[in-house]
Amino acid sequence: MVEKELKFYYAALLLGIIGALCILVFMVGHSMTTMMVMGFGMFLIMLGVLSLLYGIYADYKRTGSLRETFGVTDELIEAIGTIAKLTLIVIVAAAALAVTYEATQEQLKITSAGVESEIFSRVVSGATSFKAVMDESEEAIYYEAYDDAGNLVGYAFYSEIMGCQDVIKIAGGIDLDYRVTGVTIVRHLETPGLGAKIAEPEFQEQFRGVTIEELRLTKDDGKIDAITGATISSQAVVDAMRNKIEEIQRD
Amino acid sequence: MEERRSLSSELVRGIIKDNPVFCLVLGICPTLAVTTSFENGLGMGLAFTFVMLGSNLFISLLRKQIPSIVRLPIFIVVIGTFVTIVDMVIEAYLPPLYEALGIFVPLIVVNCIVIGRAEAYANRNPVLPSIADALGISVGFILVLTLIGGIRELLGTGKITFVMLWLLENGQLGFLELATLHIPIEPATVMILPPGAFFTIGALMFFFNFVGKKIREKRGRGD
Amino acid sequence: MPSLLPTENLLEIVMTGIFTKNFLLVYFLGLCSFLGLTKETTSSVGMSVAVTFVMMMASIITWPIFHFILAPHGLEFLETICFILVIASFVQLTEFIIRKHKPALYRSLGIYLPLITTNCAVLGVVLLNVRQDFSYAGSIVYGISAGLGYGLIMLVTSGIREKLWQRGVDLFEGFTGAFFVAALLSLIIVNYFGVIKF
Repeated sequence: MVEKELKFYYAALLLGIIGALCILVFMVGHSMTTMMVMGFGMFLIMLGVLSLLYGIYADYKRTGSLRETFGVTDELIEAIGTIAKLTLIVIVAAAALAVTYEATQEQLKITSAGVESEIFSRVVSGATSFKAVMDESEEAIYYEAYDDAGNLVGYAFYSEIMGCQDVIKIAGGIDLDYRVTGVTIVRHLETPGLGAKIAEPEFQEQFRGVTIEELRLTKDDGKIDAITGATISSQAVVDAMRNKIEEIQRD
Repeated sequence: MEERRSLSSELVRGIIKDNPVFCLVLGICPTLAVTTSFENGLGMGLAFTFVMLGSNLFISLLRKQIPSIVRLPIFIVVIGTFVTIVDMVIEAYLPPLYEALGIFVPLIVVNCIVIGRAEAYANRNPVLPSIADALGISVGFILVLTLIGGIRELLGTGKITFVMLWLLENGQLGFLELATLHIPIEPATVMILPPGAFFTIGALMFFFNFVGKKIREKRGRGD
Repeated sequence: MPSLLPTENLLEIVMTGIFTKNFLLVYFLGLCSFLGLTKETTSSVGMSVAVTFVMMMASIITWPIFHFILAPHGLEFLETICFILVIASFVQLTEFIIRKHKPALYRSLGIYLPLITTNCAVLGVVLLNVRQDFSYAGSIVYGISAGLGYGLIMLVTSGIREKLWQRGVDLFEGFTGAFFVAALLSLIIVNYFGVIKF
């Protein structure tokens, strides 16, 4: 390593720091004095830059090579190359992801909207369009269901409840008298062969036409037969329906 | 290793001799986690194929540019990009499959098979053999996934559906019946639950080890 | 954004992490180390401690990254890449520090650290934290208990394997035995803990 004109660099550093502090004073207040202090700070920084340039110049004159002046070694060049390649790959990757994200986001909206109206038209028969009813925080509480002619025929809703394994998400529908028109399971992770039977039509058909008073399991004097060996899952679906219908009734 | 190996031998090697699951015992996690049915196994296999192909292709293209000191981070970024792309595409176009595979699509990024092939093969070989290698490994992986998924679905539910439900439109339910095979046994639910996965792969492992041993013995006598 | 303080039942999270959703036996995560490192109890304990530590730290680090940096800017799609890079760098860093300052600890635990980077269980735990919208406290608790659940099964399996080894049986030869042991343990977990609600 060559001995450098260190005094110029130290001077540049010192001037730069004092200059920056002077400029910071301007943040305190915008009076005439602070303006002058700031001007002085800028002057100091300019001096610092000059000193830095002069230091580099003096070094260059003495060593006669730019590489030595800046202390560039082969390892440094290699390291910069490595970092540059890494950065480039990361930027390309992020760009590719951003493009895909934009493209799939559009499709995701279409798909989920399609899935939504497909699900809702299964639980409220005859309805073709659905309008979300929002609460204060813009979350959909339930959906008003309209038929082709634009008449309100019932309400559709999602409801979530903890099942045996994981959250069960159901979609339900009621008519204007709060009788259940249908129920379907949107998402569940119940035990296959037992709790998973909540997703089968035999279980779901029982809900059709049931009033809120009758919406209990048979062991609680209701009209819904629990699936053998899967009382927790059956109870969960019934509770999810009840909770939401009561919420809509209050509304 | 010999220099000139034909592309077809690269392909076959991945399926049989270097089968990722049964011979190299890699990538066990997704093999067990998503194989509750034939179609889930197939879906996972296809997602895996996309990532494997993309990663091998790109890493083999860039192999002269990748500084060896940061090769692992670069592999991870390349693989992670493909994984995220396939994850987003599945989420947008095939929501039921997305629900079924869950976090196992993003977890392809730590799948030992992909990063292992990147390190051991794609980083040292030209593009075409790397693609052949990726295809071979992927086909081998798909075969294992569908085999395990098929066995578990068949024994666990008593029927097996050889078609991806998420590709069917509403009016094609008749076709669905055609593509479904029923067997007249009482389904054993445990096969779909986690223990069934371990039982199935354990039994298959035993079978393949046994067959492999017999083949090796025969070869040994032949020499 | 989920809150910093626990909003969910922490006992439930602990039991889920250790038993009902055991990482090795129910989620099938981290099986490579299950097959490779259960030869003796010492190595399985070392690996379990290392995994639990990394899982906890990964939960601590990635939660703020996701909820303060990625989510507010609509960059959720970068989660996988970000998480894996953060975990890898963290593991690397820990390895350097331990090797330099605690050589004894490095010899007993540090050698397992590089194996953890490609251990899907760690990435799995942080992804599950995000997908289940856990609060900060909840996700840390989940990270620790998932690690404990992993350690429990590692310990049990290596105990069985060691005992059989002393009688001249290599249970894991050809891996068939390994999977059958896992199947039986998994049967226990699924049957006895699968139906309990906390």
